[in-house]
Amino acid sequence: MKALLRKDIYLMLTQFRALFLVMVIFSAIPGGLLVPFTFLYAMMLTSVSLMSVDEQTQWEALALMLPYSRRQLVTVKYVMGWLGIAAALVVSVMLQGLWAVTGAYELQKGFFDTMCLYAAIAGVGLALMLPVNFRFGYAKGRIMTILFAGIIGGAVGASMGGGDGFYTLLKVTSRIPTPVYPLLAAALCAATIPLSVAGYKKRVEK
Amino acid sequence: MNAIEVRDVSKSYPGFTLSNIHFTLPEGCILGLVGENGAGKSTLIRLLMGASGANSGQLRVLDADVTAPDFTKTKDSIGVVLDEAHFPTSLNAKQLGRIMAGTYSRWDQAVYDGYLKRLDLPEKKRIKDFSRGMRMKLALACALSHDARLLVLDEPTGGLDPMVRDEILDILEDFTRREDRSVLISSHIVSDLEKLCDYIAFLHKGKLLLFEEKDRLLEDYAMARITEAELEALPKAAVKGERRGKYGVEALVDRRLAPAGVALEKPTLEDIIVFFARGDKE
Repeated sequence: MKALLRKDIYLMLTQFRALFLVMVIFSAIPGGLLVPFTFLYAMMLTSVSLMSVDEQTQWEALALMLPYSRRQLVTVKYVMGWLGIAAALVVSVMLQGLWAVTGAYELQKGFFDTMCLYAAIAGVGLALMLPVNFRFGYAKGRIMTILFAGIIGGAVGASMGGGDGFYTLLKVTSRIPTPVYPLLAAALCAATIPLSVAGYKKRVEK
Repeated sequence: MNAIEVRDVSKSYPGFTLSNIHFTLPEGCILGLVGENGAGKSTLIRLLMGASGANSGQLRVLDADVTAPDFTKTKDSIGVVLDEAHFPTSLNAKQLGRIMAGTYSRWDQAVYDGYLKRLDLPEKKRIKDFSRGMRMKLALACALSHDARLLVLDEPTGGLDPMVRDEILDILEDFTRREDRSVLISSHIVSDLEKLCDYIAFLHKGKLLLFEEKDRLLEDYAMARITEAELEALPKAAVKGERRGKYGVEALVDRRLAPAGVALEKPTLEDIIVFFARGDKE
């Protein structure tokens, strides 16, 4: 696992350095307008984009022959995804905090709660995207993810549009302390790991 | 102990079937897996490494069942070189060494550094700027730097110039000096295997046509350059394959079944493989 993490970190540093700069710029924009994108962007970069590099270089073909278990090969992308989310959190808090310290912009009310919420949303995204990408590969997985997100979003919207479902959801979620959200997202990720492993096996062992 | 045991293994893909493969490679031996492109060599290697599951049969490598969950531990003792290096190309040899150090429990950095030096591989140049020969040498350096007991090489010399091929074969010869080390090497360059191997397995269209000790193959079979009438006179079972030309017939015959008096010549391994394939076609 340590070796796989090291490999992915090396890849991030050698291949995505410029893209990290974009993440910093997003999170530095005063008022935190683009901070939600920072979280999603960091999550995508450290998980799905890394998977695409593995596919391009056919690293997967070799990795299956090395002493890594399927579970390790899958779990490392979840860990990298969460490292990306954590990096987005740290960078955003630091840069937005810097604006507040210099007096240029005040931190919005509930800033830390909002950050936790963004981290949780990115975490849920990770939990939804990785099983699809592991099952179908990066190229097909990307299309499937968009379709999947559209269907889920549409279904949720339709089920709440006609009544007071949305307010009920808000009531329920408002009782949960915000810092718990990322933990719930992490638990959701952990729960989808077996699904990703099964999908991965099905794709690579055929 | 056997290095590899394959018992009645079959695997099907749409349009291709690897059927009833059965052989055993004793520890300390070198097996050359020969076959044309698409014969099933890479499929068999994937099955042996547990990268893909067989439809039926049993595979054991270094005395471990490849389908067992703890086969990952056995892979710690196996060095692998595939037909392409498949390393992340934006990394360099030094970074790759650090990754492999965390991958193999018996990784020896000094041995790896020694191979980089011996094979003239730059430590800090990105792998994407390596030639194919350099990439294959790097793959070999990784496979040889963790005290592996078995090397599995899938077409390691394909597309390489003769100098690099020779260098790679020299390294493999060094590796097998220790008696407990075994090698499975697949190639369609039969001359490479003739130099190196103790056993030859010939895969043709998903079937194992031949599995035999190399020396025995060269002893048991012979080339006969004869006329049509002489060919007809030979027992059918003695003729393994034939090629008709303007000036007569070339046939691979089993010396043990050929009648005395027929002029026989020593075959090359390539003759044996080619004529076995022709025999299967006929």
